[in-house]
Amino acid sequence: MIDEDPTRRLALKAGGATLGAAAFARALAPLTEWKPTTSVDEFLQKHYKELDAAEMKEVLARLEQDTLEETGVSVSIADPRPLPGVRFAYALNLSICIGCRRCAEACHKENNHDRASHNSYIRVLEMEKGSLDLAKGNAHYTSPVPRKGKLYMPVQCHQCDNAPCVKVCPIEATWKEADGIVVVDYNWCIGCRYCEAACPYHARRFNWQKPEVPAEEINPDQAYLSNRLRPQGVMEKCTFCLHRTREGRFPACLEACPTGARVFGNVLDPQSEIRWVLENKRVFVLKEDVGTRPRFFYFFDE
Amino acid sequence: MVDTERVDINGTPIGVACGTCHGPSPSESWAGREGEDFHTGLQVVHGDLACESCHDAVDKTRLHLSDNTPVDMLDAMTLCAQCHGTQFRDYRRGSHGGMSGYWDTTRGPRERNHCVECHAPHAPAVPRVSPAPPPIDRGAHE
Repeated sequence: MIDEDPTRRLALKAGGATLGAAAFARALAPLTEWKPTTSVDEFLQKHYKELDAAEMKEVLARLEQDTLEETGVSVSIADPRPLPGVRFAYALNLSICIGCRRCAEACHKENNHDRASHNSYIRVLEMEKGSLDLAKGNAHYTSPVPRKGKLYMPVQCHQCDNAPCVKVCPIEATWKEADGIVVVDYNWCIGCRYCEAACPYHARRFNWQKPEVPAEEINPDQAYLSNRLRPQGVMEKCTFCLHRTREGRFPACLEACPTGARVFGNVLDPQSEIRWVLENKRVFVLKEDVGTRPRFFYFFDE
Repeated sequence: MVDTERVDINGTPIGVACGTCHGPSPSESWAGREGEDFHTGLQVVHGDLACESCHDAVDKTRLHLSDNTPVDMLDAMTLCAQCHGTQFRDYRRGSHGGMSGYWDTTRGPRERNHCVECHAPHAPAVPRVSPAPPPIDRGAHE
């Protein structure tokens, strides 16, 4: 009975093996399909904080080369570190913000955001004057501004000192730097989006698709932790333009503001504009009750 | 900006910037045409001010403070500050008026706007502008 039909058994075995191999290949398909875009070096890359200077140099060179091959654009990706004696803070004067969205537009271009979604780290909410009702804030207004009886409130990452987004990250792909900026290692992020859910300011964005920027519009002045072209499936956020601000320059959103509603600087410098605002204006933070201790302040003129 | 009562190919009114005729110093002033004739279309919507509140009664290219002290065109901000003290204070403290360049002035220069770059002296209220396009994102409030 057992060895009655060896040919049939062999055929079944062969068939089973073929099916098994096919199923195995199918199961591995994502890996094989994934390989062309992720090199072994990239896959094995260490966490940002574990890279020594030489390794970081290699990583930056590889990323620049990848960008050149993908887009044909020669970019410079730097890794500026926090400046000693510098703690950044930002304040925004709601009395003179006119809601023109120039800040969001500047962010869009500076940070190489996806063109199709017109992404930006800044969302400007149009609200009834005197309400500050964020839930009823309209981020999609298009009529000429400022409209009578409306208040405009740009919202971006508040670089919280007690940042919930950092706490919820299961793999420490996002953390707070010495100068107060909360950053993301795009090569370490697994895209779980816990941080997006944890942020009370709706400040984090997820790259549902690979951001598409026309080659001629790519900003070549890039940094590893800020505006380099992000891969698909990772989180991103405002970094106070660290590739600019760690060189002493203003963030792009401040330079774009026509009214001067934005005040940025080093709070450790007693002579800085930001210190004067914090000491002399009646500043407040958004959602103070949730205990995030933002480094982003709002104020009204008296 | 003075309206010339002419429009360009898109129908946008053509204006002549004040600086076209009124240079930074009186010696550069353009005197090729009678001033009052040229300024006929000028709308003054600036409180209850008369021309002579800021301009010299005879030579309109010269400015003066409320106590009649002459003030250079380049120092016009001092003139504005007589009434707009809080704005001037905030400007000096870096919390009014656009700027660009370096927050750390030991590393590089900074450029500041002058009052009149946003507020036309004769009609200082800032006109409405079209906002930049909104985001097309998920989860933003409608």
